[in-house]
Formats: sequence, C-alpha cells, structure tokens
Amino acid sequence: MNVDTLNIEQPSRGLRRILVLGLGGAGCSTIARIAPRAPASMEFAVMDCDFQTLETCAHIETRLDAGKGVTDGLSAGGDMETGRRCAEKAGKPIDALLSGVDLLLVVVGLGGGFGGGAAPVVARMARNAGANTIFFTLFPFKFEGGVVRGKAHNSLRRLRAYADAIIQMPNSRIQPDGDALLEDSLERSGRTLAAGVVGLWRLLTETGGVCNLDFATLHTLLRHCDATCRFSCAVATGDDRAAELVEMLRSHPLAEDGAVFENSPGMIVGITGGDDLRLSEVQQIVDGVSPENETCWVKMGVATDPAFTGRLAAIVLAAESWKEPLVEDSTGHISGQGELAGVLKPRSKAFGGAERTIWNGEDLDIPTYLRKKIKLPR
Amino acid sequence: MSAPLITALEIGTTTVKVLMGELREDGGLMVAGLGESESRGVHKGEIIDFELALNAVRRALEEAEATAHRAIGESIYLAASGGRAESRLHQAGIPILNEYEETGGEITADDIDHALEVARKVPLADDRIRLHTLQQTFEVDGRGGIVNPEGMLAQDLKVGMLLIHGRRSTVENLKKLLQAVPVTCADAAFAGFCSALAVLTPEQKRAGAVVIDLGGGTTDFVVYNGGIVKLAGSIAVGGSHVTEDICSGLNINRRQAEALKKESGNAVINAMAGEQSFSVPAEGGFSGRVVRSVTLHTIINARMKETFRLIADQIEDNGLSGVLNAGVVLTGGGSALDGAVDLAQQVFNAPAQIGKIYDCVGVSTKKEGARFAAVIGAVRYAADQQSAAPKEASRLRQWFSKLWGGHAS
Repeated sequence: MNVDTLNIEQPSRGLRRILVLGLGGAGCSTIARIAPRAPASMEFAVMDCDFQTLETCAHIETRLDAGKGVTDGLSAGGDMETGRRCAEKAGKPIDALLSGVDLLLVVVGLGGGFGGGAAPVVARMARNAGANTIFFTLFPFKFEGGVVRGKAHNSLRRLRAYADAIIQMPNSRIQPDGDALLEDSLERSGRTLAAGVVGLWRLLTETGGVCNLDFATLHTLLRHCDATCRFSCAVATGDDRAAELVEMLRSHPLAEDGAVFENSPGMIVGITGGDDLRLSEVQQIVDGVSPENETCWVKMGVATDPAFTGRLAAIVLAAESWKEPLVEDSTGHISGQGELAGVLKPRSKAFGGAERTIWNGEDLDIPTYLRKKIKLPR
Repeated sequence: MSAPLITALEIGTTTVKVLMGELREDGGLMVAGLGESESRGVHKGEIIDFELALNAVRRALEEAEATAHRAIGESIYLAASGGRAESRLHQAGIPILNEYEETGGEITADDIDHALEVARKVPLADDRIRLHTLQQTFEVDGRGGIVNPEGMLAQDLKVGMLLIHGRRSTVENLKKLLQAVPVTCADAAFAGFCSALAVLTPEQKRAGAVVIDLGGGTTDFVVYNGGIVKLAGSIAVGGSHVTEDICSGLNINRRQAEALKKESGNAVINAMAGEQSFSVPAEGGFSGRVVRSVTLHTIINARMKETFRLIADQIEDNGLSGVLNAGVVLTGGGSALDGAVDLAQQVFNAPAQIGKIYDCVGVSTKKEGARFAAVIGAVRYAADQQSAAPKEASRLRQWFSKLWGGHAS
C-alpha cells in the first residue's frame, strides 16, 4: 500500500487518517525509536515543552514546541500544572494538528510534568475535534516512589474523562528479567509499544481482502471499553506457528498469562498472514485467545499480504470491562463544566445536594488541598 | 410622591439581599431601603428547596420595605449569579453599498443599525438563556477598534457582540420564585456584570480591569477593557467551599468552621507573622481541638488561589492578561476575607483592591459597599434600562445605552 491510498480525500474507500503522537519526554523518545522502523506512510508527531527532547526527535517531521511563553524551552520540571498550562496555551497549534484526524494514538509517560499534565488536555481537544483517541500510557517504575506514582494515577483519572481507550503499561512489567543493560531495557519497552502501535495501525489500514476489520469495529470497542483496554501482539514462523502465536500472545507482558483474555467481555483479533494462511490456523488463534464463555463480543479480522508468506502476525485488543457508552458520539462533546457531573458522583452532600462543580474534568467540590496534595502543617 | 423606587434582588447562597433606590438627576444613586436575610435552600446559586428560599426572599423584601418606609414597586430586578454563566463573542458583518447598489460607500446610521441587528442574532443552545448582549467596537474593512463608524467610507462593516448567557432552568426558577412571592420580575441581569457597574469608574473600565464577585456559592467575574466588557463568566465555587474545606481539613463542624474563617481566616500564608493557635471547643459531637493558624491559612490559601487561578487562566486563554491596567477589583462577601486582596495581587500579577461603590449615598459604602455591589449595580442597570427604553432619546444616548448593554430576554 502506498501513500496515495491513505489520502483523506477519498472517504468513499473507508480509509481514515491516523496520527501517532508522542507526548512529553517518554512519549517523544518512544516515537523517536518507533519512527525509523515504521511503515513509510505512518504519520508521526511529537510534542513537548522541553527543547532538548524535541531536538532528539529531529527526524520526526511534525514537532510541536508547547513551552512557548510558559517554560521557554525548559521542561515542565515534574509539575503537572505547568504541563497542563503549556498544553492549554498551545491550543491553536494542537487544534491544527488534530484537524482531519480520525484516530489519534498517543504515547505518553504518566507521572512526569508535561506528559501527565498535557495528556488530558490533548484528549479533551481531540474529543472536541471529533477524533477517537487511544492512549498508550507508560507507568513509572516502582523505585520512582509514591509521589510520582500518585501523580501518574491522578492524571490517569483525569485522562479517563476524555480518552476513548487507555492502555496501561507499567514500565516494570515490560522490562526483561535480570540484569539488562539500560539501553536494552529502553529498547524493549520501546519495541513492545512499537509493536502495539504499528500493529494497530496495520490492522486498520492494511486489512484488505479476506475478512475486513474497519474503523467502525474499533470504534465499537472503544465506546464500550470504559477507557481501559489491554493489548497483546506477536509474530510467529515455522510449522507450528499458530500454536506458537497463541502462546506468545498469552505470554505477552500485558496479557498476564492470558488471564486478561479469559475475563474480557469484548475483544478484537486481527490476524495477518501470507498466501499460505490456512483457515484452521485462523480458527486455532481465535479459539486460543477468546474466552470460553459465550458472552464475549469477539470480532476478528484477517488480512493476507504476500510479504507475510511463511509468517503469521496477530494483535489482540481486549476490553477490561464493558459498559454502555457514556458519551453519545453523535455530539462527542464534553464541555469543561457540568456535563461530566452524571459520570461522577452526581450529587454532593456538603452543598445541600447541589450539582457537583466539575471544571475541566476536576471535581472542585473536593477540598483543594486534597486534590493538589498539599500537606497541611499540623 | 416621586417616581417609584427601583428594587433589586439578589438571591445568594448565604444571603438574600434587597436594595431599593433611585437614580438622581446627576447620575448618582440614592439608596432608600435595604433588606437582608440569611439564605436558605439555595446552594451554588441554584434553588434546592423552593419553600425555604421563598421565605428568605419574603423576609428580605419586608425588611427593605420597612427601612424605606415605602412599598416595593410593581416589578423588581433580579441579579442572577450561578447558572454557570459564560460569555461568547459573536461577530457579524454587512457589506456597505452606495446608492447605485455597488460595494463601497459611506456608512450611514441605517447601516450601523443593520449591522447591530445582524450581530445581535447570536444562536444559542436551548438550555441557555441570554442575559446580556453587549456591543464591542466596530471593524471597518478589517480595521478594528472603531467606536463610531458613521460617515466613514468602507466596503464592509463588522461589529462584535459579547453574549453573556446562563442556564435557562436556573434563571427561570429564580423568576418563578419571584412570582410566588408575589412580585413581577422585570428583568434578570448577570450579578457579576452588576457588580462591575457598581464599583468600576469609567476610567477603570477604559484602562482594563477584572471585577471578581466572591459570593457564597459562586464566583462571578467580568473583564473590562477599553470601556467594553470583554469576557464574563461564573464558577460554581465560593465561600461555602472554603468553609467545607476547613470542616474536612480540621475536623470541626460547619458552624465553627464558618466562625473560624471569619475571625481568623487569611488567604495568604504569612510565615513572618507570629504563630497563633485557636482552641475550638467540643460541639455537636465533634471533639474540641487546638488549631494552628498556619494550618487554617494553608487550607484557605489553596482554595482561594485555585479559584483565582481558574479565572486568571480564562483571562489568559482569551489573550486579555496584558490589559488589566486598573487591576483586580474584589466584591462580594468573600472580599472581606483577610489577605484576599494580597492573594489576588499575586495570582493576577496586577494591583488589587476591594471594590468601592462610586457615586452612591445611603449605604455605608466603605464598610458594606463590597457586599452590596451586585444589588447596587442592578439598580443602576435597571435605571439605565428604564431611562433608555421609553423616551425617544437622542441617537447618541440610545447608542450609549446599547454600549452599556441590555435587551435581556
């Protein structure tokens, strides 16, 4: 498939524009690792307020410096509020970046300043612009301490209000065991992420032919998955490749030995094979990952690509829970205040049962010192 | 006797305020009656309990009538806070045609009226109600900042309108409450805008200022620049949030928290001031305890700073942060909190002060002025509406009244 067919000017072909965006230090460095090895027609962009980070991504075409007027080329210094302000200030360029994008894949490390602060803002803007969002969120290592972890969870909570799907990837879980070199560790987490991002992209753009999996299918999963989603992907070769592939999918660091699949209420399985793909193999893979109960919504897609002759690749997106969509996607709009009230606790006790004050996804009825984690001197 | 007094009413979260007054010939405001009662059944500017709120309103109206020795007029003006007011700028333009119907010509008074009429037709969601439509400056052939374009040669004329709108149900429920009193509600005005009318001098409006009305349940704000309202809004956070924060932070009951806030509260944490402690006696199932001043001030500071920050962010987002030359003016009950002025100064990086009612007699403006700003402003607004509407006044005067705002529906 060449670039021309990805042109958004051809909506009749059901093709949609997908943008991969790296946010903050971790996001940018991951994108910098993915980009050189990705298919040529994939679109990448990075955004940070730190000039140094952006310099390391010199090979990415679209670089957005969000720090103008706030940090002036420095990092957010671990302060989420600064990160948020940067993103709010860069509203116009972000809007321009998101215009015409149908699916936004965001890679972001939570727990830091810019990533954690800017991610909810970007998610909100994407929702307002009508783009679906999938966030690949990297979680901090255990040794980074409780404060950083707390921050990560805080921004995850805010992110959930706006993102369509969030895939959580604890940094420690995707590391190789034992005494790996730092470079290897980073390479490994980069590769796991890359496999997910590229796999998802391929699923949507290259599943021509046999059993199509389109954007609408993904949209169904995203609307119901209540913003949390797991993924697993693998490639296998050889005679017993189908069985091997299932084994690899289940042993993927995010699949928790297949436990995630067993409990999933809905999943998408995308399989790519060569001309030699057999129906029995497809059956074996789908049987291997889908749960035994009959209630799971399983949607599969199969694509054949001559380049995959002798190889078999698969990606599984599994929802952790299944809910009626919170947001009617015909409007797809959540404004800053008020409308989220129904999602959270609808009424506040302290204010005589008045509607909660929700502002930019934050519940202002909760004491400020609790939300901002200000320690009270006793 | 003289013309009927204008009555303005504000149904706040902590107090219901009624003010009766009239505008003198020289433009000064004369306050004749004042009524105030503790508000019940209202939270965040919204009615929670209809009956309780009704009684509070009746009490305040009776008190005002007693102090004025006059009955209230047929209709009263409502200063509405809450309802999550927001503002939106809408711009519309018309092409200017000469007598041969070709583009390009002299702008006539009819052209100006036409442009204003087009600009006033701002689309609004069904659940929102228009409170004010305020005219901005004209733009002639892309050149902005023009106050009166009449007689200029141009190809097209544009004019902006700032629409201040609130939630329809909130405003209509307040009006319904007045019907039950029973009095007729002549018009509803945005409380933040009213406060600005009461405390800002024309010079301050020109230089650029933000008026923040720190109410019990809501915080309203209005930004002026070049004599025109540029931005307005309301956040459903107010003094009751500060009290609740103190309750939960210090584990004391609400009455004690309220008292502590009023007596010893401070919005800035002053490390230089001597360490103080207050003992809170056991009451209503809460055990007594000793509270350090620094703890109390930290809680208040966090909340107030955040509230100011939310407003400052909106001002920044609209590119207005550079224009607050006259600084920040605080009104409402929350402005009585120690340190509120200093904190506003810090957050907005602009001079701050407590609002002083200008050109008004009959109320102790120094002590009470900031609390009554919204109702005083509402009387001023009402007087302006009344004088502008019936009389076929001069063109200029009509135009000024448009600039001042009005036509609330």
